Amino acid sequence: MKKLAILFFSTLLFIVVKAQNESSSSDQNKKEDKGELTGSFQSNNQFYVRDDKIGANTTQYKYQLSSTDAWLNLNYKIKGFNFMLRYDLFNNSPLFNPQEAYSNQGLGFWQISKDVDKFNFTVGYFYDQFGIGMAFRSYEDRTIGIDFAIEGARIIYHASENTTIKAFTGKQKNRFDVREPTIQGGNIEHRISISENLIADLGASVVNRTIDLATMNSIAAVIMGYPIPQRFDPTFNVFVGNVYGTLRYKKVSFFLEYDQKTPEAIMNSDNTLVKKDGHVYYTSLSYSERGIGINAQFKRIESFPFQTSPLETQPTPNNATINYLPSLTRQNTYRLLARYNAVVQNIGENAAQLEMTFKPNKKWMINVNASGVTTLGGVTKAGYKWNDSTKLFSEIYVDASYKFSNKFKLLLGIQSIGYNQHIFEAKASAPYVEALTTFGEFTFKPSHKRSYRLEWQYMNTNQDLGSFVNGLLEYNVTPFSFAVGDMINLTPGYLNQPLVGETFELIHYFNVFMGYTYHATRITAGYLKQPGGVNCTGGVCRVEPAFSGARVTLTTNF
Amino acid sequence: MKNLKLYVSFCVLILIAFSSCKEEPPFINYAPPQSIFDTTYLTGIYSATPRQVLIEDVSGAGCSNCPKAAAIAHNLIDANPGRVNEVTIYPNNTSFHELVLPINKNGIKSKYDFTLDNAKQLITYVSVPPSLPSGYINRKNYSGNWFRAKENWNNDVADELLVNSHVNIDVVPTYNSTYNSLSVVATITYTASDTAANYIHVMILQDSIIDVQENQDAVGTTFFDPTYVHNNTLMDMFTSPTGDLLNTSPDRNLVPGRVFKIGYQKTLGARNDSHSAYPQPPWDPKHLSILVFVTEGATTKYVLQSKSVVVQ
Repeated sequence: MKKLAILFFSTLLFIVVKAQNESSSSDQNKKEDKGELTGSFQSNNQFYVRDDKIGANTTQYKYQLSSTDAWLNLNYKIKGFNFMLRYDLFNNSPLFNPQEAYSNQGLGFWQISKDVDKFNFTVGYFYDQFGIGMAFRSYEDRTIGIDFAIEGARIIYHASENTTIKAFTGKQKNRFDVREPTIQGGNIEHRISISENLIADLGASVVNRTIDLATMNSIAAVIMGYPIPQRFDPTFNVFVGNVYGTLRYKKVSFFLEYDQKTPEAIMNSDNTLVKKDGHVYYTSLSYSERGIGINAQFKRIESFPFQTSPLETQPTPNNATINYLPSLTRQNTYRLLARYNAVVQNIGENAAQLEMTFKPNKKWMINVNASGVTTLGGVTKAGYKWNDSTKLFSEIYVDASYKFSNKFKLLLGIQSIGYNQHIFEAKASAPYVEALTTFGEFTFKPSHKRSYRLEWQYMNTNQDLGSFVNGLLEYNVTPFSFAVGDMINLTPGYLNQPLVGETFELIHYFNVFMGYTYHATRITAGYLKQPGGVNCTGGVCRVEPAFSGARVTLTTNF
Repeated sequence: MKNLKLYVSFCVLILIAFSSCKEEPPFINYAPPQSIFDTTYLTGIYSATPRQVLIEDVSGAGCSNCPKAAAIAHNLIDANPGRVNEVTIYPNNTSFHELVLPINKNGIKSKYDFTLDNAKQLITYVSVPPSLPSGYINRKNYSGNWFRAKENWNNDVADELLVNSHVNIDVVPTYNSTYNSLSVVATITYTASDTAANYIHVMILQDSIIDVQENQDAVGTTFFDPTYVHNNTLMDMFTSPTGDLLNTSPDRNLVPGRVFKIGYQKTLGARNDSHSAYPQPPWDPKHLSILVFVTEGATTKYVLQSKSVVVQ
């Protein structure tokens, strides 16, 4: 690996130097491709201040006291070649597993790709997805420590402007190594213009994962620990296939996807391996025209964990996933509104969402969202069932914003959440959370260089950690931005009731923040406290401990 | 239209991929444990007995280098009395058929077929060596490989002899000539805690089986030796090829003083599991021995302790 990295570095340097030499010595040929070197750098530094009261006491608070994550990306394009390189550094990092301090550094990503006629060839690491990713998605999400790049080879063939075919083979990245099971697959997408107003986009994929012998031996050993009636023959290979299509007619769009997975060993909700096949049904219907947008979605997942191995259960139960099952719930941004998220249940769930946006005139804008998630038993042939044994998540959300002038804008809203903490956070005794939150935001922009923003939320609940209020005041004066806020735990909930003889004390989760932007570089520094909870991106979630301390970040592009 | 055909062809390919997949699954034991009793209890803490190292010699009748490996193993047994055990395994792996199946060449014909299906399952579970002879020394993982060339065995065994064990094994075999039955009582005692899954393995070995073996003389010329004595030959297992789990439930946790007393019984009837036209070697109670060993975890597979006892 190191030799490969050195070779890659050398090749890249050679090409860069050669390109620069050529650029200085051959002005006579100005049309020549001299190449383009771009890049970016990002570093996140955290300094930990232990606070047992909020549960901020993991290993970093006791021993390491600080951590750094950093990434340097380099991208060089020349004559149809594309070279990519990323150097990763993690010092005492809780990024991959919030309960550990991970330190390592090295080449985290390299890629060489070349366009040849209608083909593109790629070797090294790559990120990609088939369709919306339910059969295959290789992606990175730094915020929750996910880097599921594939190390291997990929071919993309643009058969025509309407048809693209992809094929790849490789292994999934695991920090600075790879996971041994191999993954390979193919995908085709084709557009048919039936008429001027009617367009169909069709797609189909097949993905195969092959488990290596060592991993299979571990799986077999687990199975042989079960009573004989529960034992089964695990399979080395699993195949996932899907077909999907979007039909667009004027302002209406209809999407349909079906995914099927052959039987394999999967980890059941009771932490035992079972052999099952899997299915996903997904559909959406949307309508949009000036002033109104409506989108309705439905998804049913039946036994569809697709991982490099069913024994990949740390740090999250569905670690090392090969695909991506999207969440059909609203992605909230305000702090208290985003406190409860629906973790996609790849073992089985039904999810439905209705989103509506109205903009009757230039001053008013109204957003309405309703979503619900149930266990598989929530939707059967007998009908719809919403009760204590089936309900997983529900949200009703309404906001309305009014633009008084170009300087003043006000937004008010309300959110009602239902959240199955027992299932989503594996807290056995936690009752179903029901929270009602009112919120608002006031924006004042006296000039194009200065702006003020005030946001507030009040969340009322008797479960989890109880009720909270959050306020934030933000002041932006180019190139600086400042913010100060506090989130206060006003009343206790089911999980943080004071002991007998003790009284509940208000808990403050305050934060101060400063940002500075210079050209393409942004530096931020903040001191904050935040409660533990589920951190999600698009339904992919992990439980994170509370944080207390300072964060300094730097991002730049060149 | 051409591209639509391409799209349809791709979908057909998907269907073919789904319908044409056949693979051989890993070994999963569906047979109930053969133990006739299985008890566990806690007792006073025992002191650890010295480690006995296990050599699993993967061999074949048609493997001319295999007698050299057997000689190394036997020398190690002689040099370390009571500290080294050996089993010779003849796996029925297709890739080794040339080396393990009975010999019928140049007018020389084997009497027996030594190969076993459960030996194949055993080496598939531990790790299939690329060639024979090869072996596992306490099933220790050496840089990703469990199998070791015979040239490494002396050093490997010496290293393992220095490692202490927290498992004591006692084996009491009995042969009942009236019923032609073999009984074994294995007692496993823990002198320290172990949180990993632990497996017991109980094998029946037989010595002094005289049959043809491909061999090499001092200058490396191969020849067939019809008088070769096959020792410590794996004949059968009381336990699954991957072992039987000891700590199956929390009340069987592996703490100091934990004792498992497990009994097995088998009638030594006719052996009818041959894979060829050759019979399997018949039981010879006078040359039987019982090998018991305990391994740790399905990932490491490491042998914690072993013990071999002759039946008569």
